[in-house]
Amino acid sequence: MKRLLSFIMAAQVAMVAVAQDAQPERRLTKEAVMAMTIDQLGDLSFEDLLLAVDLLEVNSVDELYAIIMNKSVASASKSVESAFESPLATTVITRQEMMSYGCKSVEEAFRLIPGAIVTQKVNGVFDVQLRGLANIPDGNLLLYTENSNVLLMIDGRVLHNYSIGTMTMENLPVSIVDIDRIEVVRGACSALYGVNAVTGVINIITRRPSDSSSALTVNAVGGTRTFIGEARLRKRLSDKVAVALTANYDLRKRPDGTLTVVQTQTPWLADDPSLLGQSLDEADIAALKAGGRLTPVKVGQSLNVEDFARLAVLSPSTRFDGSTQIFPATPLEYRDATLCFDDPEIARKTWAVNGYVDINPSDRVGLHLSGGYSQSLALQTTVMESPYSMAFREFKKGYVNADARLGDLHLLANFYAGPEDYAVGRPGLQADFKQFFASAEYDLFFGDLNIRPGFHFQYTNGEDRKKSFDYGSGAVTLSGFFNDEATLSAFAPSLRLDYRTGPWRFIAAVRADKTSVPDKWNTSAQGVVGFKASDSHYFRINYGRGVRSANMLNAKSNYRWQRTGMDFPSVIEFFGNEDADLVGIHNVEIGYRFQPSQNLLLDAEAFYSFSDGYGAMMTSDAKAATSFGNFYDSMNRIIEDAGGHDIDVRKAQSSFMANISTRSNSSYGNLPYKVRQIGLSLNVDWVISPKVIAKLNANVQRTVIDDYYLYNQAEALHQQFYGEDGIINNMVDGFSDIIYCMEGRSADGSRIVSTDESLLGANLLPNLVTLSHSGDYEAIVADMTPQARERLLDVLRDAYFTKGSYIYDKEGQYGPRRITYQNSLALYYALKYGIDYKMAEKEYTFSRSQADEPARRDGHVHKSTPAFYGMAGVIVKPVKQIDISAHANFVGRRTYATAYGSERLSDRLTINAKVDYRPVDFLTIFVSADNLLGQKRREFVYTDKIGASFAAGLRLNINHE
Amino acid sequence: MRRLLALALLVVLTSFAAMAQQMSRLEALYLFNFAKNTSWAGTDEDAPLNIAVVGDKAVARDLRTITKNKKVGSRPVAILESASAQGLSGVDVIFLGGAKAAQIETLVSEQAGNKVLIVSATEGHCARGADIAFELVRGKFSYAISKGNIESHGLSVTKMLLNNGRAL
Repeated sequence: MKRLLSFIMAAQVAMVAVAQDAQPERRLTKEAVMAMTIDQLGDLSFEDLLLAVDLLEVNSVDELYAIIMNKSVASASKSVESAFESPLATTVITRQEMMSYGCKSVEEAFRLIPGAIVTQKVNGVFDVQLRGLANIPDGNLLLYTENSNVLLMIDGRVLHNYSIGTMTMENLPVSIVDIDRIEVVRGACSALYGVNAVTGVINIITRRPSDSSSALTVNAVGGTRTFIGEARLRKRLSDKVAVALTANYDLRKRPDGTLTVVQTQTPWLADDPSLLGQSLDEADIAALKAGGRLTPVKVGQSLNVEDFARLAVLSPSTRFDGSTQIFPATPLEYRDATLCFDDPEIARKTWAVNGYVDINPSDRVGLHLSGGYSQSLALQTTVMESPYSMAFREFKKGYVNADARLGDLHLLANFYAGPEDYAVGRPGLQADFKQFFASAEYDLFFGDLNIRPGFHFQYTNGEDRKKSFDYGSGAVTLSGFFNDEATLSAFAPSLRLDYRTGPWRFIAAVRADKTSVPDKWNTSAQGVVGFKASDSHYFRINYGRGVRSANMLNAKSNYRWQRTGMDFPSVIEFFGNEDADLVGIHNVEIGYRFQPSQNLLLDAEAFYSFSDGYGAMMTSDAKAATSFGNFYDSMNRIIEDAGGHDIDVRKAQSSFMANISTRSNSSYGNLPYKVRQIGLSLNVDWVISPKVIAKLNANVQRTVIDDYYLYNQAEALHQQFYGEDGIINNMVDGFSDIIYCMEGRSADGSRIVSTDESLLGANLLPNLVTLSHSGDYEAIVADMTPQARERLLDVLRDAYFTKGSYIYDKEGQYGPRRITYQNSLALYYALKYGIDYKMAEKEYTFSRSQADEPARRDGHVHKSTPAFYGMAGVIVKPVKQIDISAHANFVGRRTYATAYGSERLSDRLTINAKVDYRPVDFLTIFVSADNLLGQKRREFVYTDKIGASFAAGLRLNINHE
Repeated sequence: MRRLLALALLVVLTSFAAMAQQMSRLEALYLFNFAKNTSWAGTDEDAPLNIAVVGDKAVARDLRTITKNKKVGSRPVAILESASAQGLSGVDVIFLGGAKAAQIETLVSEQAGNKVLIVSATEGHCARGADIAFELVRGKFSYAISKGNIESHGLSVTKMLLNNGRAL
């Protein structure tokens, strides 16, 4: 037995020994590697070195360092370099950071960037600014609250909206799945990038198919009123060719379908549409209010879409009889707001497909092609006046891009086209646009000096001649944006010098943009000095100039706003101005970067800027007129009303006045504002440990305007018609003369009588011309006998009521002007009723010079940009499979003065959080919460109050490498 | 609640990662291995293998530590530091630090046809003539390697070196 047991034990030991031998000996362990000195690591074979690096999880630390600290950036000086040594105020946000912090869309990523002010208007639709300077001038259309100061690019190609000049991001064709990183450069830098880089540049860098990156990526997010789906498929076809295909869909909904009321006068809600248009005396109006049939509405209040058909304002009646008229707040053509808001609960609905091809025949030659199609529908700020603060914008765009590198030559070309609709359902703000950009840059190297000459071209064309609108009763063609084809173009040579010597870096750049509108050269320059005092300290000083380009709205508008049924004026025409000055800015800044260790980076910058050239649509002239045609219409009405009896003079007067046409002109003009801004930004990136990463940025600024006065467009318009020197007052005085005439008296009280019989007969018609246009009518008719006058009337009656008009215009024969049918009938009625009809053609004008321009003042503090804003965030990785992130965003209080009054937005602190769980390498499941504190205050003027929202989703990342 | 969240977001001083300059150490370790995995046939086997480090003191320091008393083949290793990539001669390996990235063109042009292995710290420099360029692949420290560029310098490298990097 003992021998058997011994044998069994020996056998077991032998088997164990064999088993151990069968396992490959693990020569290196993590502990062993950690204990090695660098000298000992140098003894390892290359294979073992690679294994050692893996064992130490050095990669994850380096990944952190690389991601957070050692980023490379291409945009700042336009050559790839480390962000630490970037000579401009640069920040890079990688896709990984975007996902770690729970960004569901590109716009949300900007919250992580110093100097960026990000506010959400409606779910998924954001306003993104760099350093501010929006809503200048204030007191005007809501359009000017949008950001027009940042140049948006994708892969270095310009994506600027030349239609209205603002940066709209909801129609970006790319989504997070397409993006490698976003590079932001703060401060004016038109010399490096061209016009519109006024407060900075945003360059979205997409993932190249030829990069070693995942073969299939899918993101899906669903949550509170949110659904997002994105996918990217990538394939390397050969060593030299790789392709990728992406698609994205983003649907966001609103808490409800209400719209915010904005009005320049006090709005009222009528309980019944039949009240609209009625003229009532004071007592009746008071009774309606007391009885709840007219309810006051506040500007900024929300109403259901259907209610806007009953929204009204109260103004003196057009009958000028002392009564008050209940005017609708919306023109007849789109009074039914459901025409404009088919589904008002949608905040954003966008989708796109993109294709990419990389062809790299050699190390020195590369071609990157991309193309795609996108559609976006988003609830956005209104472009023109309307009773609601937001309207749907719809864009449909196809694009193609080519980016070629041939050695040191870099060529870019890009074309995109499609219809843009800035107010779905409302006539006149739609056009077909196409844009083309091309640029060529070449790098020359002379030792440490790099010279880069370049040439750039931009062409934008908008066309709306074929736009018409059908409200169900047949096609109605109404005024468009331009009523024509409009083009803006520019070409620009540029030169950049980049010299490095030791720790110093000098960059100088100049660029001259020759724009078609205005037709002049716009030059910009940049001067930068960088000094790398050591691996830890980097100083920089920078001067830059930025210029904002003209846009179609400011330069080319030819838009007629028909205010059918509304109070005076009945028409407002908006004209562009091709000669207006462009906004220009000078910016000086100093910056300092401190990296005391590989895991901590501090970046501080202080800047001062001066800008001017601001402008807006401003009321210029106004006119009220009646004409022969109007006179005829009035007389016809008077006669019909009289029904064969004596004319009721009072009724006649109001009928007459109701036919006055009133028109106000607005044109784009400059304001004298001189805007100074001073600011400071601090950014901290800290990899506290491999498991904890923190980020913080804090920004202060102050914007002051000299030569300031508040130009409130609505008040200016009101003054034109209803002010003390306004047209209405003058008109009422002037037309009283006509009333006398209707009573059979001329202005001096004498009666208009008598005709000269000798004027009748064959010579009558030419003399009729003479009579009606020579101005001698009074003298001639004064001599007519009553019988001659009767015969003249018979002739006219015969001509127009029995035989039809045969008095036609023979230019040059009868005179320079046409005798219209209506003009001659007006003459007929004038003769019949003894009225001096010459007085019926009256025109009252109001020119801007008559306006009392308020006194200018210096030192006005502009409050539409917050004085303080920033963010702080942390990512914690407690275990390998789990990431937890949280970030807080703070935007300080702001006051927006608009044409509708001032809206005060209070301080806002938003806290967002996210938890990622990776059960396997290729799958991440996450849950996220936005606005955890559940604050329901507006982030932007007259937009939605968005509370807390929650989402869950997954991310699939499959590699085929 | 706000205070709690503010605290949670405050930076907590738990521990600092070692201040070790991991990047420069990795670069130095890899450089030494690049030299070991290159065939220097046709060069003087007794002469020192000279590695010039341009614009990166930390890598130069770490290389000296690593290569002290070590050889590449039969050749002892000497480390030279230079502030500029211009005018380098009599060297076998040149490492161009990130701070001197702009000099890549000058370097490649001057060393054309020479038996010199050019290694750059800057991603993408293989396209501009470097033989090997460090890069990050999915966040992992790695390198791109151009066989064509290496051969144009009259050199060859081991298959292991080619296979473990991103071959261009």
